[in-house]
Amino acid sequence: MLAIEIELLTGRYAATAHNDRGRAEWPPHPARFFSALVAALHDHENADQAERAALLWLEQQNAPSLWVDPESRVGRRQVLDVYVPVNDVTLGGDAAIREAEAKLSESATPATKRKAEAALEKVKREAVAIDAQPSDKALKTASALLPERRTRQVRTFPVVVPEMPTFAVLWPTADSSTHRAALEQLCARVTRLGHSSSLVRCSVVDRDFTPTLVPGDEGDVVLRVVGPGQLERLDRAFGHHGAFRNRILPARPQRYRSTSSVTALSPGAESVFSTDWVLFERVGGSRPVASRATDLARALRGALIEVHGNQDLPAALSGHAKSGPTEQPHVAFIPLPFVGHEHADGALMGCALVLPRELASSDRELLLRLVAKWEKERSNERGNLTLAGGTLPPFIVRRVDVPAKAALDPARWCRASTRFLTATPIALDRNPGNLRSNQGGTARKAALEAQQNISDACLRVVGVRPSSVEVSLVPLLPGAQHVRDFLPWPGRPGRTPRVRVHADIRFDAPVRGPLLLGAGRYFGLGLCLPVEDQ
Amino acid sequence: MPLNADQLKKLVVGETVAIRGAATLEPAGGPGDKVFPPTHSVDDRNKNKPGAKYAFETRRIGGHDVTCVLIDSVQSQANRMEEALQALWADKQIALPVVSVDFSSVAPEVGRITSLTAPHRIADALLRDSLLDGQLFRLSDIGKSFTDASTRNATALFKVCPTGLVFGLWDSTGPKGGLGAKFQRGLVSEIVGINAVAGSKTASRIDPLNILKKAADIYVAVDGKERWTTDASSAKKENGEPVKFGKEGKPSEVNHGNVTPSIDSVGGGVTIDEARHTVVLSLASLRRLGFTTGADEARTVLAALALLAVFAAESRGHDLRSRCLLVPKKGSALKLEAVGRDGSATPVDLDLAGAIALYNEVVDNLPAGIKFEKPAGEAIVVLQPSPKLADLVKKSRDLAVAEADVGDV
Repeated sequence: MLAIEIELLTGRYAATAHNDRGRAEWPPHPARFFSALVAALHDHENADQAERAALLWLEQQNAPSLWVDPESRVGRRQVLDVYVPVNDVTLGGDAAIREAEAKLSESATPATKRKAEAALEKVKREAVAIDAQPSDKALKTASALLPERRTRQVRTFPVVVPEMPTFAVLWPTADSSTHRAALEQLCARVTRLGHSSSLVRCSVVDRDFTPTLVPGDEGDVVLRVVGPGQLERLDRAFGHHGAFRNRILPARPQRYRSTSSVTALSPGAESVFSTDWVLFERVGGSRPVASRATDLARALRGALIEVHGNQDLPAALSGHAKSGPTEQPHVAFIPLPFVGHEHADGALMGCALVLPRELASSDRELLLRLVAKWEKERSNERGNLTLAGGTLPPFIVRRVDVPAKAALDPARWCRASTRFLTATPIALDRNPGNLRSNQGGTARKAALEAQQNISDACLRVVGVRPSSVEVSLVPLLPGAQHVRDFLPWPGRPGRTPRVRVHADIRFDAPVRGPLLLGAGRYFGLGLCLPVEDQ
Repeated sequence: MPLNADQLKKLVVGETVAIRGAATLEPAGGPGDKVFPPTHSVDDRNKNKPGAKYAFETRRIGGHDVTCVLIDSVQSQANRMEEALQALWADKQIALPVVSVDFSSVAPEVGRITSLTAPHRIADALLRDSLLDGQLFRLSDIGKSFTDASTRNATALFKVCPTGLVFGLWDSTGPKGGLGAKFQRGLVSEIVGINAVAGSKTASRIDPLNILKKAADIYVAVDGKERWTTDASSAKKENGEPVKFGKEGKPSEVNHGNVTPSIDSVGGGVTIDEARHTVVLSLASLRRLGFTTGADEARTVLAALALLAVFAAESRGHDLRSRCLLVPKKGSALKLEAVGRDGSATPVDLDLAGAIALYNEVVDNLPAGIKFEKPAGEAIVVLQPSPKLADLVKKSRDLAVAEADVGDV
């Protein structure tokens, strides 16, 4: 058992969430802690070999458990803009002089030397001499230099204040005896975690801890952890960013579940779709909104079929058996829109392959190999893939393990809730009637029919009926689009277009998503967002 | 017994992780009085929410959620501590390497700026654009000496700006750009108000002369020095018409008349039960600094300097901003403790007088090679604003005065 205890000396933890600049991270991610150990390793010019070996051993271990306050016991400070004075306002005289000096030292012939000397003299004079007609820029710079009028830049300092200022990172089954001394030395040099104001005390301890968060696929919390090769990855990356350029911490996502039954809602019902997603994040190209979801879904499916080479995918992947469409849930192609936030615009942030829960492991393997093949054969030098087709302009994506955008986080769509709102409208299996009718009673009857339809769909996907369904043609979530903005579904000649509605669905007991409902559920329609029930 | 130099050195050199202090403060007007926390900008979405300008937070205290508010941030506390150190140094009580530049002739209200008060300490752009013996600061010997400082070798920075090693420094705009000397802070101090409730403040003006809104029309005067006049015939004319002052020529545009009372709930202060002041000095982070000589002594000086900064600021009282004066609660003045590797805490006894004596003693113990050269109150170098900078500042101020529209109140 390896247990490392970390005490937040200032009583608070200041670290920005990796996928939300306006939010503090909690609990502290194990990957961040590993980086702190690596920083301690490099305190000295020549890294201690025993310490290095200890970190190489540590990265091989499984994802650690945590003994840490849950979110409910943690206080958060409002993240407000703070204006800090900049230091890059300058008349720049010294930089010009250094350049001229460099040129002088490079000059080879006496002639160039004389020229360079003269240039140097000139630059030295100009650096301090009064300019009779100063430029506007120079005047602005001078006045912005003085402390009272110094230009300021916005920064935020997200801070979390846990009830218990100590937490522990635990590897219950690891045998650290050979590396214990080296780890103790490294921990003694971990002085902060996150922002520099997050001073910590860090030490290897012998106490027994009962973990409160353990790695588990059914978990709600996703933390970044490290895997084998992390030390080398970090060393290599340091060569690029030198500790001051923007960079992303290499990490792999690990789901964690809470061990305390008190804090976790234990949902009875689960979706037939799993939380196991293959994620693609939009990195360039067109910026379609949610109304183009079905085009993008078709493009994604088309790309995989094309890579496979023929249409003969197993039923679990294509949804088609010899005799026609399958009954079993199969892989869904789901574009993920930015909805649910005050400033959401419905833009598609990426897409995901959502695997059914009951997928045979051979089929799963086939799909993952197909994705890998797609990446290998069709990606450009930066690892980006292009989705296009029909009327969809090229949409460029990259597969990601840990998405930077909140909209792509499976936990956002999969967490258990008693209330769901549609991000994309549900395509009803049967025509409910005219929802827009002005005739007495027709619209009402159609609404009831639609509600029943959706209740049936819920039964099919999560195994329980909702306690209430309300339908609407207008969007119910910020960022979602009106049903009329969506192209007809299925949109194939000879196929009747389905009626689509938005819905507000409530259950008696929490249901764990992803909730994909209706006729278009394998292609991005009927995607529901779990929301707080108020 | 107050902490002495030997004991401090033992703490610094040994395994003590940090020295931590806590104090409980209350508003000078007594508990329940209103205080004004630092304000932040408010976006449109929240602009009418009560207390939106303040950084509230929820803390778990005694099993309950308690609303708290930030009263003084880490950065603001650092600035106050540096100012307090400068006051002690200027008063000739402590020796401390300080680089200063005197802007009194150029901008009197700015006065002297030092490596303690400049926004980015010794790496600040103001020092960079000033002259040492006619040469731009960063091209001088001292200016070049700390360009290559790093945590592995902090000696050069220790000799010219030890506060940079305590409060943090990043020479990101120097000759090495982003790769320039970068040091994390080792001292963190913050004040948080407990059980904060947003309040309202009112603003109004009763005119002692009781000038009514309709009393007269105000026009722009022809003579710039006179600024305004009520006599239309001697007003500035545009297209034959006299130009009204401001938008409508009301007496309020020239600061006369009553101002209707308004109630501000967005930035109307807060009431708090008490405020907690937490301060932490990480000795472990001082131990990570490398020196070519006298490492233990240098680290001990930095620790003493940090402790001195804390007490110096505390002794000046927590007069944080207008209507925000905090005083220690009876019996809860700043108390220090040393935090061991296993989390255990041992009390540390120290006050301002003790901290000054301690600091002076450990400074005296510095070996050759990193001794502080100058006596108390004397800067290691005094820079001059470059003629170019001085002229630009003067010109830009003249321009500001000339350009200021008479309507800009």
